[in-house]
Amino acid sequence: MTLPKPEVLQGTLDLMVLKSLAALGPLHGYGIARRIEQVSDETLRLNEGTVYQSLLRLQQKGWITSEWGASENNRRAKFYSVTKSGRRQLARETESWHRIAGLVGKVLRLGEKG
Amino acid sequence: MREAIRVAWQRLRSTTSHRSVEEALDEEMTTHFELLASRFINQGMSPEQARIAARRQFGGVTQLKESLRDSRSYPAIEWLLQDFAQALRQIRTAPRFMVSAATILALGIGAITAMFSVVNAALLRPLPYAAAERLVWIGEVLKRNTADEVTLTPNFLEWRRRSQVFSAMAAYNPVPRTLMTDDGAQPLNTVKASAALLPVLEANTLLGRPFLPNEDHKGQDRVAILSYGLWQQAFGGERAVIGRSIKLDDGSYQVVGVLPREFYFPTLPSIDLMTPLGKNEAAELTRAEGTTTVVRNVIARMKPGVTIERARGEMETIESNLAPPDFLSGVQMSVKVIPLQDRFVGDLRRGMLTLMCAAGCFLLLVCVNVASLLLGRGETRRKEIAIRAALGASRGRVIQQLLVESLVLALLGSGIGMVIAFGLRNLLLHLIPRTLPRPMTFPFDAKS
Repeated sequence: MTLPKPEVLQGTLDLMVLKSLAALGPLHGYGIARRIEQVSDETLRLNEGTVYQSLLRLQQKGWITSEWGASENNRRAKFYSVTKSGRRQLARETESWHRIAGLVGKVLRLGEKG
Repeated sequence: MREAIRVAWQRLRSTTSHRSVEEALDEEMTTHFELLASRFINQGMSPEQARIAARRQFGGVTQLKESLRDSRSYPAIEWLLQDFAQALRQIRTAPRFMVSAATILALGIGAITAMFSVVNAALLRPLPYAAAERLVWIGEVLKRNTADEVTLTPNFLEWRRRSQVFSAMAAYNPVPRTLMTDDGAQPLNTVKASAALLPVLEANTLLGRPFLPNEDHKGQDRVAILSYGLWQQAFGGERAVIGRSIKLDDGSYQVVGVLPREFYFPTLPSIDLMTPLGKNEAAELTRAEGTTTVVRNVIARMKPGVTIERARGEMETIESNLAPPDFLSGVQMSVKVIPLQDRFVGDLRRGMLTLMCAAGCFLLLVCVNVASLLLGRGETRRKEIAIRAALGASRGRVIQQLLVESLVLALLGSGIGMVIAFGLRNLLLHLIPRTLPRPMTFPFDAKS
């Protein structure tokens, strides 16, 4: 599966990035891309550069912060971590995602039956 | 909402710290790239293949950077800053053009600004009195062979007694006098004024008290009020001056008050000292030759809601019921009621407006001049603009750049213009009679 138009999935990607950081602690951009690849069983292929757009958006909203550190290949990399308000936002979004997903699922099942 | 503000703030901040962010991003992406490539090498690709695969997986670097740049800051602001920097460089590269254009502009702007600040102070601002629009100047015109603008004291007394539209009316005469001190004599500009003068102007004394109504009468008028300036200069600003006796060339007076520093005497150049009008009112009202005197100025405050037309109408009715004294038989009397502001400004108005128009035309000429200079320069810059367009500058961007350049020119011109205006203003002040209000403190306010 490749991601459709970026505008549509901006929110989804942001949510995935936020969740990855909340679950694994500080990560750099490469690490985030790997994590998303992994959890989506490598079925989700994205242009990894778009992760940086997502990181910028999240940072501007104050949901994540960044710090310079050393990467596995001993280069400088920025490590991102979730802030307090980022965690709150993640909780809110997760909840609303489940609600909407449940609702949409219900509606679709209704269609199947009737 | 809070997030929207936060994002806007972050973007604004990035607008100024551009370069370091860009370098950091480069570094971050390089790391990412190399990690991806080494992963592919570990999977068995050649370095060359790994590099290509990494590039594919990462996506377009240039587009990414472009889009990050746009959402990181406000590109429009960044461009504007770039254009300003570019315009400032123009001053260095083409100093002759910029300096001459700015100088021409500065002359025009300076002239009109100076004119406006003077006109503004003299014509447009109200007089420095409370509710100044209710103040009028009243004069009697005595006409036989020529017209004299002078008021007969008995008529002033009748006006004051009969009129209904004024809350107070006062008369005053300027008198040059001399102050006698131990060190010698000092010439003074003084005035004899009704006790009602300060109430008419709704002014009060800084120290002591205003004149009392009974002090208007001859024989009870040996009291004086000092101006702030004279009090400071001749009496050292001592509060104990109240009650002291001072000697003028026409006798001694007891100081009863000091005027506030900002008090401005109407229609006369700066006044040092004031004594009561001191008329023998009973004798004046007989209208006999030899006892009838004149007053030069009468001012009055209209009651709230009274228009100048109504005041004029009432004064004309009163005047028509008064007959000239016998010794002035054959003289035609009429009365003139004008706003005090007009009396202050008087004939100056036309001259000032003419000067103002002249300065306006001058500014117009200046604009035409600068416009043609810019036009000529545009011709020589064709090549530069063509290069910019070829490098991808949009039409709007080129127009913006030229506009910003003109803006810098205008700012430069007005900056120098302000300095010129300041100098010119002081020059213009000497052309103005000293009877204008606050002549030495003409404001240089934001409107000008």
